[in-house]
Amino acid sequence: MAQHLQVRNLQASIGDKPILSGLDLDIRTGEIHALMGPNGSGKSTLANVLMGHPSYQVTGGSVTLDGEDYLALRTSERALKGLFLAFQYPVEIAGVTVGKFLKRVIELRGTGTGKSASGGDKSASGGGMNVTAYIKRLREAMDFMEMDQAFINRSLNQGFSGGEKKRMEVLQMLMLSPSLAILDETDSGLDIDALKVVSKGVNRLRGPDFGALIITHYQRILTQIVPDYVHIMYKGRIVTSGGKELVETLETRGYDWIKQQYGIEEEANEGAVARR
Amino acid sequence: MMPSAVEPPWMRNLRSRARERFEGMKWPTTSEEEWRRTDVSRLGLDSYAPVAALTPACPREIDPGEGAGHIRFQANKCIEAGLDAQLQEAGVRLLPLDNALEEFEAPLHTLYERALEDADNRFLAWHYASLSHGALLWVPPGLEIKEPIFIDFEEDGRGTMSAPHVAVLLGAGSRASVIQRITARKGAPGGMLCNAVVDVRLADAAGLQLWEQQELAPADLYVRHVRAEVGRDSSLRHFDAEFGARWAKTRVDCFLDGPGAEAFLNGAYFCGAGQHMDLRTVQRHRSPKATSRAVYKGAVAGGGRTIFQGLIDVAAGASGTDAYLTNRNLILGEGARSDSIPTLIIGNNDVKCSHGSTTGRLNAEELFYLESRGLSEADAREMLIVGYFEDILTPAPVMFKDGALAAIKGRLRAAA
Repeated sequence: MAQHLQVRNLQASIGDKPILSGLDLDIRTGEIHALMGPNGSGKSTLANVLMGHPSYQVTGGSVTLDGEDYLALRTSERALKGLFLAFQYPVEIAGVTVGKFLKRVIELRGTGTGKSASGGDKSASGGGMNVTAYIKRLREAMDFMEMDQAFINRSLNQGFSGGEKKRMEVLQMLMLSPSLAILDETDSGLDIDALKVVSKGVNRLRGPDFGALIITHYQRILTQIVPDYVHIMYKGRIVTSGGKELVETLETRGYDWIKQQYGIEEEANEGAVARR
Repeated sequence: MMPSAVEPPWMRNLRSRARERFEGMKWPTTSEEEWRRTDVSRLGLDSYAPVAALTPACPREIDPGEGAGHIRFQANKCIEAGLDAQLQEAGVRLLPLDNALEEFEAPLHTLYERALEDADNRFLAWHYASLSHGALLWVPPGLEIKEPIFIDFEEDGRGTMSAPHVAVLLGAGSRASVIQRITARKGAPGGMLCNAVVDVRLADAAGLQLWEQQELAPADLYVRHVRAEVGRDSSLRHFDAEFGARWAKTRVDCFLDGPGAEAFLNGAYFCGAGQHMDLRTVQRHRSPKATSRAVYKGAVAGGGRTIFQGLIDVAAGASGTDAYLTNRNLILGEGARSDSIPTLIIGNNDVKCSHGSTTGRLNAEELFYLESRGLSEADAREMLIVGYFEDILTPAPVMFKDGALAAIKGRLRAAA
């Protein structure tokens, strides 16, 4: 099902510190967006705010999903509507095995396959899950992600290496088959082989029913997952957007170009406000 | 309470001396370290009347079902008992205590004399004076019982004091696993005092796993002492799952009496609003080269109060002792309070002893992570709390583990 996430003039802060300062963004299923920007520009904040992290407060603007107020939903409701966040730093959960965890979160979506995450058939919810099919699918997805099947019986992320945690995020994404995924610096800290596997996972879902926002510092993941749209974020908002050619411009000219181009303007505006 | 006429003279004698001890003692006060955080003065202990002492039991014989044996008590009476026929043939005994007092006079008498001598509080003396119902398990030397043996006490009473008792005697080189449950009888109004004792003696190279779960009624009081003598090269694994009663005071006193002896004293507790739980473990190293581990984990809901007091006591001659003690507490709500008091008394320089304790809350990032996958806040909390208890329950028989986790989930939902 086609979905449209619309972000308008979004403002958010953590504590007293404003981070997002009027951000606009449209993501539709079928589209891959890349979000780039220097450290501290607010990229991870956007990811956390969209998922509903309790430490951030939305102070203005709106987010809608197919016209419905998205910010009014709880985190779990957002997930069940089809949003997925691949965490920059996945936490370790003691005593909860990968196998049990995935089974539970797939059960919540009411089907044994993890497809049709939102709306549609609710009759299969609860105990109606096909466990054999689930295990088969999990094993297949782990093979695809080049992960050892022994992970099924390990506590989620506990003692995993950085690369294993990132693969586990993408494995969960494959199993849940979300309609919109945010990948928050999933490429950070990965060697080229791991990066290829992670990219392969994203590309597998690519299609008319899947949209993604890939947050990254680096160009290299975008040679593996070619984006349809590229956005540059600076000081809490998107300062410019374009196609994949924007990645190349950024590669040659660097973030300093963005700072010169948009930072000065920003500061001038701030000065204008102050003088008023 | 008059001892029953059917009891052999040694038991009648023991009871009357226990009675004298009881009368010569006062209830513990908060000036004693072990009772400093648990004030019994407002419990009205004197108002609880002991139920009838051991009466002849003729339990219905039952098939032990999924275990090797099963003995069941209801409202202070043994109603059912059964033991695997081959085990019976091999000399294993699972009996209501009154039927065991003659046949097992020698070992029980010795054990109870020592227990009475060690009795350092009024509850213990009261227990032996008023011992009301109980079971004996005897496993002959060299015999290994693979399936668990179930001992079930379904308690029922109001304003009364019951004194259920379990004696486990393992012959040299034998092995057994016991699942003991003390619960409120279905529909019991509650309001009783359950004063339980478990006496364990393991001969050399014996191995006992004792899995205990307590789910008394919300109005009940519970006090329980385990006294375990662990001989040379023998191994005790004790598990204490505490969930019920408005007030609970438990102690596991483990005597490591021979080289190569080992003890694992583990516990899991969930303390809800209005509950008070004070749990104590004692690792008494009286012999060289023994190993002990105590790991207790608890969760405390808002308005609940727990105390964990662990002691490692190493005698002067106990060189090569290896002992560890730790307690973790999870605070689940406002007004929850949890004290953790580990103590070491080390009488020998050649030892390896350590302790640690932590108290914390559920991690907000972990909750957010689970919620981001679609779990509601309540489900995410439950998953984290069950996960927190998971590792400590991993070695348990599946039935026990499932029972304990079900109790934790039930308490959690009730506290929400």
